[in-house]
Amino acid sequence: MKKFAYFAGCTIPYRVPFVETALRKTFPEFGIELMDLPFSCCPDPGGVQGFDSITWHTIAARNLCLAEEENLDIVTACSGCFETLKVVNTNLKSKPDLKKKVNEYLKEIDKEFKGSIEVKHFAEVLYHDIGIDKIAAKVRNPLTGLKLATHSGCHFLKPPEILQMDNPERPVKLDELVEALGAKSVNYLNKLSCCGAGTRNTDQDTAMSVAHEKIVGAELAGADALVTICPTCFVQYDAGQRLMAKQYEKTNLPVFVYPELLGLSMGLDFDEGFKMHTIKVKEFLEKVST
Amino acid sequence: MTEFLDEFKELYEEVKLCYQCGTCAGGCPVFKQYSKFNPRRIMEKMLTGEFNEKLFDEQQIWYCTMCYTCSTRCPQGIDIGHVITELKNLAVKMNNAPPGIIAEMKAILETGSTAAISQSILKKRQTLGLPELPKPDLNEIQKLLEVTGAINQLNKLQEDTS
Repeated sequence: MKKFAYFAGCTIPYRVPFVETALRKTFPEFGIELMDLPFSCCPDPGGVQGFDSITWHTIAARNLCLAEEENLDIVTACSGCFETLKVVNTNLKSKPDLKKKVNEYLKEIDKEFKGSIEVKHFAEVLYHDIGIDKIAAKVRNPLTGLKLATHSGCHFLKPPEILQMDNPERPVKLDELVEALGAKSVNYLNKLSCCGAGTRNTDQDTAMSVAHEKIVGAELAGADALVTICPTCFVQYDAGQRLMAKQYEKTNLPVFVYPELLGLSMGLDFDEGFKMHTIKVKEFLEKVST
Repeated sequence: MTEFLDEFKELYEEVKLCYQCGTCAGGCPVFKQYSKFNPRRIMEKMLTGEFNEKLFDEQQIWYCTMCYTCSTRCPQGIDIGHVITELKNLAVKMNNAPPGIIAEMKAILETGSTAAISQSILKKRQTLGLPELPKPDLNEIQKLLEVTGAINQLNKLQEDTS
């Protein structure tokens, strides 16, 4: 049994909590225990880092300290949280001047960043710590015949020299994870494009245009659904399809986060969570042989 | 602008290798949809020194989604995403930030979270059988935001916009 500090973030618990259900139900099946700690917002790698980089490092460092105190590595299911926590953890470990400055601030709340833990993305834990073979061995209801468009997302891939997750121009890990469930990962137009959420605070229409081109690409490739590994990307593509309809022809592409499909193929019950998707997934679920 | 000249010079050092090939704009997901946000133009303005308060006023830099595609592809190895983040930090110091960013900072200051925690969402969590999450120590968050100067900056921004 490997234990992690579970970093919930803001978007998953208070916007799309069914993502959390999927993680909490699937991870114990692979011998992984999650511990909840009083974390704050990671904070947001776009907004808060854009506001003030030192503040961003400092608030993130407080979160890292909480996990250090428990001597636990962090796992998160949000790529925004992953970006913030991994970049800050790496920066503070490698830049002594920055660490000194942040620790002066942390001293005000009797904390000190030591640099004793690691930050992991749930997809990294599945791919590296658990492994494709063990995942495939758990599949009871394979997603045979289904075509899935994968979206690895920006903050799982970049900056690659720090995150070191996958090739940012040709990512393959999420595709392998999807194929472990028996589905086919399809290549599609705009596969590498950003979801656009980062500009939603500035201009929603532009943010939705960025997201829309990916939905179109996935549909043209005949995908049955789009699969993400980040709740913010999920919201852009799922609830976002309603907003896109203000500018473009209406689309109805089901969107999932990977742990939902993992659980589904393992025979776990996610009915309550599936009902909370904006784009209905009933037809997709009917295609899964049980 | 002159009071931030040192920061600007540091940033100039980062971008001076730019030869204006436009790879950044070519891969930019926002530029493709909204051509007024053009990372090549932002680099050009920094190189020619025409980067002034006016550009901050236009708030174009806030269109950047922080996807780092430009940074990954720049043939001169310039971390353009980082440069734009630094420009955003400078803009904030000059009391320029879009309302969405101010609202987000306020939410973190008041609740420790960017998402409003409503009764309906708590009910959804119950329906899903999810546990109540431990709350962050708000005194700690507020103390940190105070000592880094974020609260002070936020107050200045709110005074300016009200």
